[in-house]
Amino acid sequence: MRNYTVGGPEAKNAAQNNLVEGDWYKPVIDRNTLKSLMSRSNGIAARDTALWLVLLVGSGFIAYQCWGTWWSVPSFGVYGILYGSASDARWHECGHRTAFRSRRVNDAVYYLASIMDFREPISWRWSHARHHSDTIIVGRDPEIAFKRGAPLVNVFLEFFAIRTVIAETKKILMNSVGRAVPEQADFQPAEEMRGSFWWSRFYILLFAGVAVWCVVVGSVLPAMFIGLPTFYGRWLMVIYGITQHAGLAEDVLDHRLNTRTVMMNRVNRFLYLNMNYHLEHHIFPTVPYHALPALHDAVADQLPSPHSSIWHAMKEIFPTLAKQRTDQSVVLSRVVP
Amino acid sequence: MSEQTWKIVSELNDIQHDDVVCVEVEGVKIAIVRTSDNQVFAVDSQCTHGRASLADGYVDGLEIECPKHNGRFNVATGLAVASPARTPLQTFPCRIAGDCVEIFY
Repeated sequence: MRNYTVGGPEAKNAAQNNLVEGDWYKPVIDRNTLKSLMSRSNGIAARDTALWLVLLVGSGFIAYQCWGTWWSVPSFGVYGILYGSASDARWHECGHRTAFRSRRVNDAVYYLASIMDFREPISWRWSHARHHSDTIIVGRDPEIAFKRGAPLVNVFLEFFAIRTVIAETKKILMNSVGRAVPEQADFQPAEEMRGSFWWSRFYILLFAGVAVWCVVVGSVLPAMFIGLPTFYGRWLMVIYGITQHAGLAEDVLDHRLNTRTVMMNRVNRFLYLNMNYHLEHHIFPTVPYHALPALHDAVADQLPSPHSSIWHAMKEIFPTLAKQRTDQSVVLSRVVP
Repeated sequence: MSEQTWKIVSELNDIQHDDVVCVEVEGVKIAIVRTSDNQVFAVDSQCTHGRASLADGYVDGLEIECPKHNGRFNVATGLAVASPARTPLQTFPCRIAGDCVEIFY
């Protein structure tokens, strides 16, 4: 299995092969069209965020009322998806600061969603910047979620955030005492560590506070609202996330070969904030989520055909991940126009 | 480098409001930004964070956003105003002279 350690031996190979901060493929698009697609507004994201929060609070209220009955299971199921899965898309869009026009509102939602995702917000901002610089470049990209040759049980564990939370907890504990984990130091400037240290201390206080609350009231109920949804509500985010890059090429400078666009219905696109247009997002990260369908139409003739559904994408992804267990040269190829 | 003078770098009409174009002066690529209230600014076109040309970026008021990582700079001061941008951009004096845009370079 390749060494995916960020800053490890594969990073040197990437540099020697001119894959670091490389010149990525870009489709041709009229500047006026792109300018129009890049334009920002607060209104659309305010509507979508308000709806998300109303559904979150509403499902949480119903779950609270139903606690102790079987009705709490579907209620927490919905709450968990909104907390543990839909938050990921809000984290992502507001991390790029493209959802709202207002930088402050983007940042506020980003920090809230970071807590829900159990991600320390400062280090993840830098991690994601690296992911966009060197997408699926082994040794450089810290966000390669589905590594070739990794046991498929890892995918299963990820549905419940097990490995992610273990890794993040380790980082938070180290950061809280003023130490960076080795991979973090590769993509996050030393001057930006201080913010991670303070956020890590806040996370420890927050989740320790929730644990104390549970002990005091003699019930797991507080943690069902804050903390545990990251585990029991994450599964849908993982399904979305698998479709982004899994099984596709590594070490290429063309997003058409390592990133997927998958058509989804309106409910999924609301929960996922149009990140199903992932290929278009990677090529033009300045285009807000609500303009991605129009961007898709504008450049569709220059990109591979999108998958028609999540199921359609899964049908190529899981057999490929299974084959990569024994043969890591297996890769899904793409026909580019 | 030749003696510093005001040099014509673009026709004003070649730059739309709230937009940016890239010009090359003595081998140096410079981004010329025209705001909605018809001010013009000149900054180094290379983002100080990642390898990207700000001439492909997004202009929002007095800020320009990098097309690669969404870092932002104030085009009047060159200061980085949104991460991952941290290091200021070099700025150049820039003015409208008749139908042209000039920079002092």
